[in-house]
Amino acid sequence: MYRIPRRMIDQTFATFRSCGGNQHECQLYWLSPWDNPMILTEVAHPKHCSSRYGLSIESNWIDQFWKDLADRGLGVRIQVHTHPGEAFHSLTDDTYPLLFDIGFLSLVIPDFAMGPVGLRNVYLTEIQPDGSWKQVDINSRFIINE
Amino acid sequence: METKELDVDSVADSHHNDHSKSFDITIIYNGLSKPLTVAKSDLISDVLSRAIAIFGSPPNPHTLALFTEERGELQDGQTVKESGIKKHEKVLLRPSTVKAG
Repeated sequence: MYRIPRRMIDQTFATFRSCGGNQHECQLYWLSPWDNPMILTEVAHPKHCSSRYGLSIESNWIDQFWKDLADRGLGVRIQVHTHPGEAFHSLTDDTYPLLFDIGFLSLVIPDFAMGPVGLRNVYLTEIQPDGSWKQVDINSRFIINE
Repeated sequence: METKELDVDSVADSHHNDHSKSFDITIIYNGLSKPLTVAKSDLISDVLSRAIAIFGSPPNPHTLALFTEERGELQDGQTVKESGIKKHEKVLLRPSTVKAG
């Protein structure tokens, strides 16, 4: 079970709202140290191109991000992105995640994150051993530390 | 007519030298760094397979490729030598494309 501080959720919504402006999708990554992977500590905001219906992460940014993670002993545990309406996982979401590791989580926030701040009405899915995605209960994966 | 015999020993030595010119590089994947020994004659496709294996062979490995900051995505059909990979170089194992929609 991941422990996530409330401030990371607040930061996630604030970034989605300022970057997406209720007009564009946006993506973030939730990170934790490799020596304590279940304690989430940071939010990373990638450089990306986006529209109302999709986004693409800049390749050069991933290069620098990969080296920065290694230098700082951090890893990506969850990718988080917005949808304009309903939260679900599209075929593009299934096919082009940042990671394909078993247990990697992808969280989708509805309505460009303009709704109430928190993890209600979100969609959470997890990579299975066969590489497929399976929806999982948010309460089975996260504890929010106030 | 003068003929030259193929110097089998010389060809074998050359091949052996390419293999013997092995060195370590560092593969980086999601914040973890692991060493990998490569030879100059190794194909990037083989290096990629071994890099994926040392990180536990995640599902859908076809989404992953090797990158360097200077040269971008390394081409499967090239050798380590042709790709310009240097001793102790940090090589990134990462997806070629990351999108959402």
